[in-house]
Amino acid sequence: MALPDKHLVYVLGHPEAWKLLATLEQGPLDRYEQVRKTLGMHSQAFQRLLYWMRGYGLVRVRAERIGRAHRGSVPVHLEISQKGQAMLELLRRLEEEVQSRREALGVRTADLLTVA
Amino acid sequence: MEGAPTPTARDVRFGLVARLRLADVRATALELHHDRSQESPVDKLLRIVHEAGIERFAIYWPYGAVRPALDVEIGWLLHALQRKEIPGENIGIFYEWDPEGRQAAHEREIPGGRVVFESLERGRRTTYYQSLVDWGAIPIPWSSYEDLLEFLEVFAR
Repeated sequence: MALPDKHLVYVLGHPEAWKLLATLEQGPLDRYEQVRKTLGMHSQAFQRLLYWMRGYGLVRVRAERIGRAHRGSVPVHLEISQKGQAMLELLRRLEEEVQSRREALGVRTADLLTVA
Repeated sequence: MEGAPTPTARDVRFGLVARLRLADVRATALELHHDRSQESPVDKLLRIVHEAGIERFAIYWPYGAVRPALDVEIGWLLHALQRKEIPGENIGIFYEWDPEGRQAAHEREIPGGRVVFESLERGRRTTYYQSLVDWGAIPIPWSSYEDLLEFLEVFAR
């Protein structure tokens, strides 16, 4: 049996990663603080989450308005990538499979895909 | 290790290419290809991109590195972005970012709550990297060579 890819392992082990993907699926966000509070995370933990999610190509930071000339700092937003979208679809299928095997797997303590 | 020479940015790039190739990623660096007689840097860049079928471009941005021969490659990428010849998501700017130490760039919150990306290395021609981001390239932070290698492999696939 092949080992799962690291980004899948990361997302499966971090419920906030699921929530971040579900949040960004609704559209790009340009206020990190708003995202952080939606996820209910401490700022350092949120930074780490973004670090790994960006490194794994699941979310990305992108210029707010591409090609608009700026002098110096570039306004950016956070958005889900195609890989992130594919990961979210995989997670939803996994969630359905888990639900259908609920008795065999045992009682769950949280609905990880519920966005507050 | 005491007394061991410090690897240059070029050494690191060559090492990254070698490791990626071990993972069956078709990676290369311009310096790995021989110069041809009377070929300008731009001509060489275009030739390698075409011959190797390169579709994704990773820019290695360690904190404090010297950046010779920067203008040709960055200028060409900027031009390609502006003409929509290369999608922005196919250009990754891998900048060193350690929350406890060295940071080549960062994102910070400005009054009003929005976020901006900016270089923290003023005077090192990093304004070109900001321009690439401005035109759609993707900034990706790394804080160790292990992370950088992993992120490059993800980016390449």
